[in-house]
Amino acid sequence: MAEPVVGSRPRTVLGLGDDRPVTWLAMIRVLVGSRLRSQLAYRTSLALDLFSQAFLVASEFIEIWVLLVHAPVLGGMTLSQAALVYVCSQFGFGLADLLFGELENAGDFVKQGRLETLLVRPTSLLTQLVTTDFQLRRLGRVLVGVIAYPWLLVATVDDWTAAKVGLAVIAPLGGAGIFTGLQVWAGAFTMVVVDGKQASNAVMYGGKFASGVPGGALFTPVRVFFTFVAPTLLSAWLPMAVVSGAGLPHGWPAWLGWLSPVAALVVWATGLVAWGRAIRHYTGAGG
Amino acid sequence: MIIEAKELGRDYVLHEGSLWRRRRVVKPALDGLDLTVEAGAAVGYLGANGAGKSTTIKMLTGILTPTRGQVRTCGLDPVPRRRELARQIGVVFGQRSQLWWDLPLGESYPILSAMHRLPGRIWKPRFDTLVDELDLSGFLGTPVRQLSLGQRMRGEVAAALVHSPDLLILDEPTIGLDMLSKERLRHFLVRERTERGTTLFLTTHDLSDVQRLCERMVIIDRGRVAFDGTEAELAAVTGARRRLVVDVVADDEPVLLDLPAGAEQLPTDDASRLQVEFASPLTAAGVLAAVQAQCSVVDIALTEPTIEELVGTIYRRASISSRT
Repeated sequence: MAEPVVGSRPRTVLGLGDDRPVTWLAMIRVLVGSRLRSQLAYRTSLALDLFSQAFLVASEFIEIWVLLVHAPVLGGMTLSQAALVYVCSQFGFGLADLLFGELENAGDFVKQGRLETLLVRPTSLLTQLVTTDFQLRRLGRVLVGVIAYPWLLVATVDDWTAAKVGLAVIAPLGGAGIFTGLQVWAGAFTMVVVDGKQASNAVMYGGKFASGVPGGALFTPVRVFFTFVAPTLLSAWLPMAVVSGAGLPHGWPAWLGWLSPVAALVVWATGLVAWGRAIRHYTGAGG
Repeated sequence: MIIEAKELGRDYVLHEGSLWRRRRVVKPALDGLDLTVEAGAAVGYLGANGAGKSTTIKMLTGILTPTRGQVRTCGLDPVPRRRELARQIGVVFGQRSQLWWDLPLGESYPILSAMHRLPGRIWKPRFDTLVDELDLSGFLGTPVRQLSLGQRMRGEVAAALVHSPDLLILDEPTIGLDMLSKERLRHFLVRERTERGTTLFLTTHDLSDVQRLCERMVIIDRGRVAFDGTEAELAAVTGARRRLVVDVVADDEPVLLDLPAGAEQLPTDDASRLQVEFASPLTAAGVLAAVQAQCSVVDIALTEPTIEELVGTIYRRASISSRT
């Protein structure tokens, strides 16, 4: 008879019953829960990380603020309207970065040979990569959005309608959808072009920067690229222009402000095709 | 059959030369591999670096698409059914960890079990057995990064077995381990196979792993099977010579034996100790009978050729045949 075991036997995880079948959601809870426990063990470090993320969001806004202090209108928007665009963009990007930010490191998994250990598990590679290094510190940007976005909406918009309320709710969620879809694209790209992180970051972080400024101020080809190719301008500038009543450049219809969920669906659908191809490329090339 | 490979081949495409004069070079890593493994067997898969061992494992597990030929693992086509296959196999990569580096060892198993969608009533009893048999209890609370290599490897094996797979694939599982850790791991694997019928497919550089764990060995060289059989068959195929040492009651004069053809008496300084070298088809019993007919035998010892010598012979032969 074996001796009773000492040490740390795994407990029933996060309330999972011993007899209940493990659903996909329950699995995600276990995967993310393990990451959270690991990070919550170093609370001071986590608090500092959260604070520095939030501080980064504020400090990045300084350049827009400086511009608008000297010129009352930038790209057809006032300071408070530009601030609304910036915060809405950060909110959407922050949600995406919290959930899918790890995907930009897919190329590192290939380089280090760690992808092979993930491929011999019965869980999708995308789910594993997203949850393997879930970083709670990325919550800092989201917290800024949660606090500042409603406050700026109330402070900036006077003539609320049901449609505007709907658009204000949809915008950061659609933005998160667009950015997560772009992250799937970035993950697929870096799995194929292992050293391609700089190139994918240029689109991802370039798009994030562009989405946080009044798009009317952008050079037209840049504005077109980040509206119709990597559609990050649909995540904040266009919807917030509609919500706040700011003017759009000539020829840019207001209904573009409502397109972020559609754009998110398109980016996701094409991103998943690219992701499937990237896995086939990896299994075809042997890593 | 739990593994079936027929005419399996894999090429790697390399690009050589300068940036402006890049050449596409196709290099076969594996070519025409025929391999079948019955459920419950233990097979040692041997080969030098670059012989095609890892390529084979990648194709068996669905990580790599074959260039040619067919492969079935647990009856499944590995690449298109990779995730389904993952439920039926366990893989231990000696130099890559399946465990969560920053978590206590014990926390990796609920995560892996959740990935396999196993409820607690299935995985917990199995885990308890693995903890006891692999003696993990003393360090379940230790973060994986702080474990010794031997402790981590036992943890890796438990991680590969927590979902009770039919086939366990071990890629260099004892690399870097000390003798005690190696022996403990081998002892566990023998028991796992005996008690649960788990098929073992093992690649290693350490031939003592194969001797302890496997009744069959497959040696590959430059992407092809150079030998497939038991250790005894390997000795027969290579014509390896065994040595019979016989202590006899003797006078001062050295004894000159009349031996069957193929056996050779080696010179010794001690007249009371005779040494005879022979190879298959002669047997130790036959040679001993011949010696006993001529001397009074006091004691005997039989020295087998080392497995390293046998495998070395196979490689030398393969090398000569590839040059001719």
